[in-house]
Amino acid sequence: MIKKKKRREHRRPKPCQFCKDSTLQINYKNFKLLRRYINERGKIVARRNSGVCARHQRQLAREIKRARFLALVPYSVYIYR
Amino acid sequence: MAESQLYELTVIFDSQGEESDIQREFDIVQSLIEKRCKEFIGRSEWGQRDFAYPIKKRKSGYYVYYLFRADVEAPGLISSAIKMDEKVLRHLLVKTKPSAIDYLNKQKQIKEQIERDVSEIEESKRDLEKVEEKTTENSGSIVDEQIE
Repeated sequence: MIKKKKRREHRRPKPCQFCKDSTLQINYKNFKLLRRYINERGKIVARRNSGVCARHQRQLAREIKRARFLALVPYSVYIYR
Repeated sequence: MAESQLYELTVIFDSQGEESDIQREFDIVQSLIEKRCKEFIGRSEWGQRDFAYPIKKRKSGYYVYYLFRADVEAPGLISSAIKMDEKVLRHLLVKTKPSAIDYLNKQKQIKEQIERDVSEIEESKRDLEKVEEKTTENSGSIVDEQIE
């Protein structure tokens, strides 16, 4: 008996938030926005998880590093377990 | 001749010490920039903020943002001059886009709005105090009449 192959669901990738809304500015001064793109450990969220395009991910990483230098955003957060 | 560039400088000042000394320090850094830049556009004070991690055993500091147009050689000179200042905990000097001018104008507008709101609140408080004084005076006179 021939088994039917399962069809893989193809999800359309979400459009980049910054491409969609040009008013959103990626800047270390806007560190409240940057906090959305770091996890609870203080790491920069990968673009496969955040859905940001390559161009804006590069900008995000640069600005998060600037915000870290100015102590606006933490380098790392220790979670006690 | 090299074209001038737009630069932004964010400085973290030590929050220990008197308020007037810290304010003077903001002006010192501004004069330092004005000497070396072509055009000083403005500054915005972010106020005292808590750090995400301690810097030089301090938990908070004053953040001040400066925007200016200068030649290519100026940033090096400015940052080396700022490093000499003991009151400066850390600074970040980067090239920026013209949108930074809009940011500065927006910050100014917000500051003005806050000042206006504060003055309005103070006025209303004064009015309330006046009304309260009047009511206490009136109630006092009524009590006196009743006693008579």
